[in-house]
Amino acid sequence: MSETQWILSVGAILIAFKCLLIPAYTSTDFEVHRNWMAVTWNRPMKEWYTESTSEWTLDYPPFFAYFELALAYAAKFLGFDECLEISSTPKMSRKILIFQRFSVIFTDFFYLAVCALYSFHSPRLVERIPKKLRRNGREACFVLLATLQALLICDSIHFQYNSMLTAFFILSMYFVDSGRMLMAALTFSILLNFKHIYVYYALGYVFFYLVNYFHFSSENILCNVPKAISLAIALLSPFIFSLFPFFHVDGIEALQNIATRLFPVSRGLTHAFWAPNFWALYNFTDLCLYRVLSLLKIGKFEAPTYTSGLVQEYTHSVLPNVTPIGTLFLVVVSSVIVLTGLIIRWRRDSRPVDFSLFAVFSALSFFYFGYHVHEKAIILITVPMTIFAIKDPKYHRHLVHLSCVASFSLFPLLFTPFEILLKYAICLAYFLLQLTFLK
Amino acid sequence: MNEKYTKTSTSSSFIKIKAPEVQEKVTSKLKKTNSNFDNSTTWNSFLTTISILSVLLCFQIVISLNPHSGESQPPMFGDYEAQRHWMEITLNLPIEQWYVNGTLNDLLYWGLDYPPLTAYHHNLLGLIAYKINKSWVELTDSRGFESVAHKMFMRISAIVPFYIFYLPPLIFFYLNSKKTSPMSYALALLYPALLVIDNGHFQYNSISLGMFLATYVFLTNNFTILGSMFFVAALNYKQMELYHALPIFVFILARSINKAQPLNSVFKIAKIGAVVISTFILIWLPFILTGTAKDVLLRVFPFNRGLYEDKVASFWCAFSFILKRLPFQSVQIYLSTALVLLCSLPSLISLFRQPSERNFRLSLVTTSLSFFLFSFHVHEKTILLATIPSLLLISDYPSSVLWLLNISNISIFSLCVKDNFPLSVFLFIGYFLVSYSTFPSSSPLKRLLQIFSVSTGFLICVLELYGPSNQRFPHIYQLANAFFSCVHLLYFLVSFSLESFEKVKKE
Repeated sequence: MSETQWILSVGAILIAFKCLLIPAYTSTDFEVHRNWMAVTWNRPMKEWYTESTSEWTLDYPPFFAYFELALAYAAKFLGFDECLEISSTPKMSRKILIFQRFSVIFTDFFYLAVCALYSFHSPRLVERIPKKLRRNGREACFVLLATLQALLICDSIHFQYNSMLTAFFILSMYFVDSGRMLMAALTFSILLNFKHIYVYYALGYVFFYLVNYFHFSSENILCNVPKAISLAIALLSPFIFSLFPFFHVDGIEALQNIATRLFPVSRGLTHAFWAPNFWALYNFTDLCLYRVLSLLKIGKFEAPTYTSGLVQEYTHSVLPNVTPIGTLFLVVVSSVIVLTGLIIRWRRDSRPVDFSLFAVFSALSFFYFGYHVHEKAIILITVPMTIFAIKDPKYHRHLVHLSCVASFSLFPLLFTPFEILLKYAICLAYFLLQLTFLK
Repeated sequence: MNEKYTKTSTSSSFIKIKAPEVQEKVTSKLKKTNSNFDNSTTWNSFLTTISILSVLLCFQIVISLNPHSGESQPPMFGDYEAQRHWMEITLNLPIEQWYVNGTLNDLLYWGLDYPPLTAYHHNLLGLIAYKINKSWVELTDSRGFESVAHKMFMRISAIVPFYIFYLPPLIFFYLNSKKTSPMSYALALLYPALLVIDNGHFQYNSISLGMFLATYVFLTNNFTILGSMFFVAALNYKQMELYHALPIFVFILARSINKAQPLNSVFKIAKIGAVVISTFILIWLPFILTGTAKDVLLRVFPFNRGLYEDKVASFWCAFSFILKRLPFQSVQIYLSTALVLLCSLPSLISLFRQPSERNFRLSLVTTSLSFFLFSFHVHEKTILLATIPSLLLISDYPSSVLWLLNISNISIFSLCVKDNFPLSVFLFIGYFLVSYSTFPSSSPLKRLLQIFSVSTGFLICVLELYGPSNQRFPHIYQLANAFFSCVHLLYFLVSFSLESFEKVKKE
């Protein structure tokens, strides 16, 4: 089959599947996004980040707010006015459901297009694969990225717009692969202004650019200055586009409002569902110690509250409490160690280490030690890992392993009868697709 | 098969599915080195099969969570309620009352009108339902029962037989066929109309169709006795399997006749006849013993029901605007029988003269198509009886069969709208895109024509949903759909009939 045939058939199957998923279960995120649409539509810009009629306040960066505003315009234009009502209680009707679900499906076309661009046109994707199998590698990359089980579960059932955001990241990787480093930085910066969770990749970018973009040889160290300036422009211009309108209407206060909404430190170390990271182990150890010590009647400890399933701040019973700054310190230390290791290997073997690996390790350390990590953040690791494994077939095994873990970590997201069946079926199908296309 | 694969192409173990043209290259290369090499082993059939099956399962579950027929539509509900009601009846009443009208069994409320095997199957399901939750099958009190748990139970009960009865013979057929490409295989397994009817609308077609496919596989592999037993079972699960009876009879007859040994062939036929009759008697035994066999027969073949139901793509309905002005209303039933026989005759003759596997498949398609188009009391769902045997022909005539499959999807869309499941159109469009993007047609003009025709069909589907309503003709779009599908099916009937007279180059 040719490239177009692959894109058409995989895309058609996937989109058909997503359309049939419209009546499926939706989480509170559904109402969250509807509310954002209503807020951006009904309120002037300076109230976007202060409006709090509904408890699901806008807490994504401005580009996402603009995106919601665009959706609101579309809803108005197509006659879905119901979606645009600010209300303190969740609103749900068949019309709202149809509009919001199709908005996700619509952005999926963008994701599919970017996947196709990367898989079939990235110059670095198949460098290390024997010539005969290169085509297969590209096809495998496309199929595995397009049908990523985590995106299907998070976007088309749970309800979010992750595939659109992931598309920006893949686009950025495409630019890295084709050597257009400034464009890559620009795309990444745009992505950061859509959803700040993508800061997970930031350290990966920093380290990769240090080695691959700047030249620290002794002779012409000065040639880095113009490079640094253009990089700074590429990185900062999206921030200006996103933040300046707010600054313009409401001064510095607007920026403070945005900052408090984007980085709510009062949310607790772990999310309502613990993400499978270091702090889950930490909480578990604390819980065990508490139980054992209480049973043995050694000392008096307060009962832990982190098992309540609520999003809140809490204190540990036995082990010391962990502050956001503490987690950030651990993240930076762990990723600096690993990423420096990558650079050392690069120098030793004098063979470039692929950018996807930088992204994997950077996201992994954030995921593992970060403050209030969602289980959905596993997408940030599986996407670059898929690309890395396709580039270097030695690591197919690791990809399959990681995907299984990712599937399991996402299972708690869905708990209604049909969706339980569905999540197992989707993850099983993805696992088998991986086995079919990899190995 | 897998061992063979790894031996011959360890170098290409990166990806197991290969595109048709790549596969062709590989096979031609392999043929040079190993003339006995079997086509079907150039792709890893095991892994491909289970990954297609897992995708299929995803689709079945996602269709399952969509509404079923008659969901929260009292007082009659729909086929879903019919199946549930049959479980209730067969579980609570003694066997002699199943098909008989009585105070506890109101036949006007979804009375049992399928043959005994269906009744036994529902008895078993009723037992399981009773073990899970008594209120699902309580006599008369459970009418119109709906709950998420019950929907789950029903949905799973429709998915399971798909894997037990339907898929094994289909997969067996494809993995043993020399011409199979991974794509035609996938398109056959993922045929959406059956999924929408069984898992969406709700019926157990996969059981009777699966037994029919098993019949095909057994007969073509010379297990005649086993094959005819399976066919009797299929017939006793759903009387609609009669659509396939003529070609199967002719095929068995033509293969049994041996001109050199006439005595031997008579003996052979007698043996098969004895097997068929004793299987029948075995299945009907409880009813014969209780003396209600006649009641069953009357329920199973209701001649008092009218020519067609709803707006179905049969000849009588689609052309009703002309036919109802013509003066042969009284003889319509004889006319319909005559037309059915007349239209299935050419392919049957060809099958009798040359009982090859291809002719058998062709004649199964044409006979069931002529039954669907001209016979008495046809449902939209009955189109499956024509399209399921055509799944076996994808490798022979990819472009016409895929066209037929896509038209059949469109023809059941009116039913989906009635079931409040218009989202199924995306499934049909998806199938259309996959089938037309992967299969090259013989001539670009023909291909363009087909794409145009299927797109027109989808346009009618969209009109059915959003078209301006017409006071004088409230069902104008359903009728348009029926007419559109009927014209196409007539074309397929003619073209497949003609095809059965063409000499095949290879066979």
